[in-house]
Amino acid sequence: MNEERTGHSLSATALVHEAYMRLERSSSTPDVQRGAFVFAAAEAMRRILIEHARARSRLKRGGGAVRVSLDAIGDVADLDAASGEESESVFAFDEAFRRLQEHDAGAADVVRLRFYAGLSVPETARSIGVSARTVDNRWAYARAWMAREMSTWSGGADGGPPGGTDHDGPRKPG
Amino acid sequence: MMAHENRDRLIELVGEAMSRPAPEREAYVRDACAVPAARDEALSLLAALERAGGFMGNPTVAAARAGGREIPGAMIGRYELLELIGEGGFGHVFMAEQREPVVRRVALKIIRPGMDSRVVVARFEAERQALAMMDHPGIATVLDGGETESGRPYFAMELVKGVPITTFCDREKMAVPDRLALFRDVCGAVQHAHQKGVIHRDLKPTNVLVSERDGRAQAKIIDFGIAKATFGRLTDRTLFTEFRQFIGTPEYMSPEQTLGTGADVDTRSDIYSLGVVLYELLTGTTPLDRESLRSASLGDMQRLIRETETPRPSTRLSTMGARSDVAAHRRTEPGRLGLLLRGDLDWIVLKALEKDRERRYETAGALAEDVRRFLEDEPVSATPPSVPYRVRKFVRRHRGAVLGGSLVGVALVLGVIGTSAGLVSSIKEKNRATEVKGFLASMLDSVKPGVAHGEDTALMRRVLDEAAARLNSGEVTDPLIEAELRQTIGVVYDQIGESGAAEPMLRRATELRAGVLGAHDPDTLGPQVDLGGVLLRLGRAAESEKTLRAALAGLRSALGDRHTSTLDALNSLGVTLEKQGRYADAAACFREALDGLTEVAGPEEGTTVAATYNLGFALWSLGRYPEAEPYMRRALEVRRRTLGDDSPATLTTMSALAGLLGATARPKEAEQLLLEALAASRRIFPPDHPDTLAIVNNLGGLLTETGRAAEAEPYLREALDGLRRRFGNDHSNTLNAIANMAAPLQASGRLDEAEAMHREAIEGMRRSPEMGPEHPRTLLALITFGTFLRDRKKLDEAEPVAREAYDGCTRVLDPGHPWRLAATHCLGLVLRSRGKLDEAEPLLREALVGRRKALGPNHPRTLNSAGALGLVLADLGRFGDAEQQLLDTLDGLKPAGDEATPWARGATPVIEALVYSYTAWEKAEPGAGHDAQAAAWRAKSPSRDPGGG
Repeated sequence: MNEERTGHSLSATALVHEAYMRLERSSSTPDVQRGAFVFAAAEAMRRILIEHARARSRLKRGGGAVRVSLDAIGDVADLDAASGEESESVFAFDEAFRRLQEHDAGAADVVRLRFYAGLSVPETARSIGVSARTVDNRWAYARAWMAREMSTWSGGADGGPPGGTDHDGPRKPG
Repeated sequence: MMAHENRDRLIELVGEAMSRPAPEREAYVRDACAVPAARDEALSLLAALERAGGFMGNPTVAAARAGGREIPGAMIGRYELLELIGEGGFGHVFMAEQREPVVRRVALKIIRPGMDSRVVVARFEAERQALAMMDHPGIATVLDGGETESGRPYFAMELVKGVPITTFCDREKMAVPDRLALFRDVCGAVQHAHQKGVIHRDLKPTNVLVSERDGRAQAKIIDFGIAKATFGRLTDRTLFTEFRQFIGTPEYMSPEQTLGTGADVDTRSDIYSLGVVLYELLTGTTPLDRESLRSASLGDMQRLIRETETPRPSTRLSTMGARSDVAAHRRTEPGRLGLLLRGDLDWIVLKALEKDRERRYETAGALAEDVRRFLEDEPVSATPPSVPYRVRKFVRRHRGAVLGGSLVGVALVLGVIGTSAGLVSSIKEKNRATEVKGFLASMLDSVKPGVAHGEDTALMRRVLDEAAARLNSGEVTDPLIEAELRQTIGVVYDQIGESGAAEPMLRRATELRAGVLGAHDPDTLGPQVDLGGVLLRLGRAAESEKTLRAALAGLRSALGDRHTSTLDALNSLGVTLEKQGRYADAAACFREALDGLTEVAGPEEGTTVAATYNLGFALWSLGRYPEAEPYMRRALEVRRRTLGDDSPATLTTMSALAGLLGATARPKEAEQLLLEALAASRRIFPPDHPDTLAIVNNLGGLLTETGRAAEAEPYLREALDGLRRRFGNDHSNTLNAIANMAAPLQASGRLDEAEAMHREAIEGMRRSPEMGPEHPRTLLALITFGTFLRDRKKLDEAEPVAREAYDGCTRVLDPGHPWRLAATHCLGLVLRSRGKLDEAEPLLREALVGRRKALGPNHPRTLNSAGALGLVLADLGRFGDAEQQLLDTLDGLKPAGDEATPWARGATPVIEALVYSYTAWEKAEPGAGHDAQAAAWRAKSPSRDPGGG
């Protein structure tokens, strides 16, 4: 477990590079629309996270209860850094995101742009053509909805309060 | 399933609640929503979010890391992004429109995320005033700086239309003089900024944009002040990848910038970068290969930048082979371009690119001025470094590695050859360098890693042998290339201690050069200077001197007295003179060389330090120990610092300083130095290397000197056997080792063997063309032998030996020279033993007075002389004089510091003499209490044979 804990399979920087490169490769047309570009970036990022998590969980498949520490998921880099049993949280997050997409596409778009593509609130607002306040609202809603979704999806074992039960210890967000 | 409008209301409800402080949220929801289902749903979501803590709490941190792009149309501060006009490791540049207070187009540079933007902005603010003072048509004004919404620093600056200077020049097919004129403008702009106290720190073609205005190329430098704000001090957590991304273009970075601290960068870093730009303008390439820098690790990159010898632009051009487009872009042909660059332009570029910034142009203006001089056919201030000087510098710098490593070493040697090939003057055809390259590449191929493994210098020797064989087979047809290769191979042979193999190489190199360039060309004289050193190491001092004097005279008339090549040859001549025992002449050479080199080459340049060391050595040989020591220490300090603790030059210096310390009775420090040097020397050299043997010999000598003959013997034996094997029995080094070997033999009672050693050494020295009967070392051997014969009670034989030593020393050494005093002391003792007391007394007095002065009152040799004088005075019946002299001597002893502890017994001869004197006095005047004195002093003395040494 110790090795698992320290052995982040990819640094945040590496992940970012890979997303960037994939994007470059997949978008051969130079005049990709701005919005499409960002969405594509977000989608590429999401897929990379899943692929990495899959690769890691193949290497180490822990039995027992799946524990997901929501508090530890501050940004995409945290998801990418998740290792061992924690890589389950990547699947849980992705599952929650896809359900959100079915549940409310508008909120899901905000998550795409804010969380996966990393846009600021005004940037997100401009990209999808809504007000910044709407983005703020959708963002808050999406976070809450996904949090709730994840704690039920993973067999009721939510992360507990900050710094709670996760035996790998709380990871500092960010 | 909730209706769509209800969903929107729910989202708004949650969002509004979340915008409030946590304790008020629930109350807000209850207040704002009357629909129970929606209310409960909102509360459930809020509760889930509260439990989730930092869940999705800081997505923009990832955004910053992820390098999310700013998008055209976005507002950054008061600028609207219009169009992406550039991007790179630093981030992105947009054309942007400023709306207030004036509407104008600007360039907006957004720095990539990953650094603390507040720090960047603060640094920018700090620089702002200086930036505002710059007002030059060649400098783009920096207008503003700030932070974007996503927390990335940005800078707004004057929008410059143009393309990188190198692109522009190639596109316009600008001829070299036009390029130089444009470059001068750039220098002028940089000079202006420097005068306002602004250093650019990131000058490179992409920061020098050129456009055509009024039919004239106009250059503008962008990004002044930005590098300083964004190049932070590298912290521990800064990854190299990030470092590399911020630096972006290491090929333009000065050596001092690679240290990464940023604190020690001054205007001369910009001069260096300008030099790289000029290099590229002239040759189409940068001095260091872009690709190898990119793929290097941080350490390798630093080393590449700091250590790679810069190839001359003209040479670089010729090694590029078929790239005629470079010439075509300059409206000329490859051959002509090479000719144009060769000489002054080479030197101008190389001076701007000096690794040591002290040696660069001091200002951008001075660089521009030299370019102007070139354009107007005036003599330029930059001067060529001499070929042998540079090659040797390179070899010296890499010697430890060359000798220590296996394949690495081979690669380095071949690198040396490659470098020297790069120095081959390209007179007309470019295929000369190509030929050299091909030759060396095939050599390198022959060294397979498996073969190389573990073979160390044996392999090196083989590679060199093979290179030599191939040269002999006539594979290389160009005489100048062959000469260059032969000289280099010769130098490397000499460096690995194979001086015998070096000689023919250097002789042939001289002949080849003389055939093409004439006998008086400095390039012809170069291998002769090297040959002088080789001959000396082969024990042929007279030939060495002759060769060096001829070369020196040629260099003086060809290059002048103050040229590094001249001074280097002068230094070599000094070494030869020193070896012949002509210490004063040698010291004069070294002093002149040192003065000149300090000025011309700089105080820490390898040759300068060598002259420093040599002067110390010569002063030591002259017996002027206190004068010698500072030079030795200085040389050691600089070499440790610049070459490392285990470079051969450092080890030699340690060994010599140890010898000097031994001679001045500080054996503890001496022994420490020698042991350190010996360990390192054994590590980096193959067995029997002369440098190692010298250290071994010195260690044996020191141990003998401190009375540890038994410990000394194995060292002295190793030195002697090794030197016999390597140099034969007649070499001065071997002869010195033979003489040294006698002492431990004598100490262990093998007197006949010891005597045979003495005789062999003295005979050899007298016969040696390098030494001869009046060489100081021959005389020293005689002194030791005379003392030995006296100890063996062979007094009839001892007297002529001691007299010969004394007479010789009186002729060739200064009165205060420690060896001359030793001869005086020795003769005095021999004469006393033969009962010639009246003759002995003044000699021993002279020795005592001289030694007190030369060596100090505490020195064991001084005390030996004091004791001996006491004995002879007692023999003469002058007991009162003896007593007074001996007691005065003891009184005059300085308190022995820790350092003198092993020499505490040094006072023994004085005490013994007192006992002897009181005993004799008691016999002469019984009952006066002298026997009591004798007994009292006897109690203080460990038994020791009085009057030795």
